[in-house]
Amino acid sequence: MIADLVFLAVLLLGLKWIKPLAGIDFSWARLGQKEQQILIAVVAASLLGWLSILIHNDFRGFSEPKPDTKTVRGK
Amino acid sequence: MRSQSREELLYGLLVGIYVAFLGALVVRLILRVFSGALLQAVAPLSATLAIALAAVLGAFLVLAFVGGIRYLLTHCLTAATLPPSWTLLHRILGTLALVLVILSLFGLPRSGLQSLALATAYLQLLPTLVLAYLALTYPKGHQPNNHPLGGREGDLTRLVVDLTVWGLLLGLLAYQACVSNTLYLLFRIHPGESEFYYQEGLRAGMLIALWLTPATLGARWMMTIAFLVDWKGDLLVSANFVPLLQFVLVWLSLAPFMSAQGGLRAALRIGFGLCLGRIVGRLIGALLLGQEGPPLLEPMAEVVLALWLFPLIQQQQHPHDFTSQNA
Repeated sequence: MIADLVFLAVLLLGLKWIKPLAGIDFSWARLGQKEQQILIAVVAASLLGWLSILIHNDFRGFSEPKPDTKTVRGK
Repeated sequence: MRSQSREELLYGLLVGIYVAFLGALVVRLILRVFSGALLQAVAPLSATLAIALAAVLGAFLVLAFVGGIRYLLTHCLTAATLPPSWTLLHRILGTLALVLVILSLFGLPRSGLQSLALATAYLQLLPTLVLAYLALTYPKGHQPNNHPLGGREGDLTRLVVDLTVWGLLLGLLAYQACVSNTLYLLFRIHPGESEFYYQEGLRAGMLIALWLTPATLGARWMMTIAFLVDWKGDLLVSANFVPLLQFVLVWLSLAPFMSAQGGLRAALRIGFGLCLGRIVGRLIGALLLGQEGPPLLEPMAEVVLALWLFPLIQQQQHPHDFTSQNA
């Protein structure tokens, strides 16, 4: 998980270098106002969801979903 | 005009993915409730009949949902020929976001999250509500540039659609087979493992899509290796070393066809795409379902971003198919 966060930080810091490497030609201003607002809401919700998972896992990373093996339906 | 289309295309892809996977969440809930009710009702008469009924009816629901998603995504993203489709996509997104909030309000108190994590999860519902409002009030009649997508952008868009459709098809069928007790009847696999089989089916479907979509031409074997290492690599090495194993195997798969320098550059870009995809997949998946969300979108984001970076090498240096013979 720490490696992911480091990678993300490097990515953000190196965006100027990465954009031409990846052929990224994306301009925030070219999106409509409504689309921008929706994207901001999506990013905010996603970051909070990610943070919740990280806190729950004590910042160790994502755990595999644990199967509920209590009952067999119809049995 | 073309650059404007690119921003709207990326935005549309994100909205389309959320519609597909949030819709799959609702479909899974329906399948679980429906199968449970049917089994309770019919099982006293004949357990086998009840299981067969639940399996067949559930499979029809899955096929209808996946068919609808394919139709919607194809018309909204790759052709844009239906004027109301863009608005419709947002209406569905808004409704699904509302459903997600309601499900979370019921599910979170029983989620067993630590208190701070639970508070953050509740906090997540606020921007989700804002998202629902914005999507539901999206202006009618707005449509991005109505030209059919061609070239590399069109290929990558179809790649996203194919990965989503095939992944959801196999994932939901596996889920349905599990919750309807079909897998229990055949292999003694417990219905409680339905989420695990949903994710396994999802990945299996995406692997099939890798071989069916034109965007992967020239990179199918390489992407298959990378995908399989990401999927099952932790059986071979520690999970922390899976990205390294991925990089080495991608480099080895490229090496025989390219100069040492070119092969290394290609592997670096693809390795970068895979790592970036892992992070992006986790981030955009975190909106969906808490613990379950990130692993859902990780493999798809890895494939798309790796292939997005790959053609720069493919087109500039090696125009021929150099890692597979399936062109």
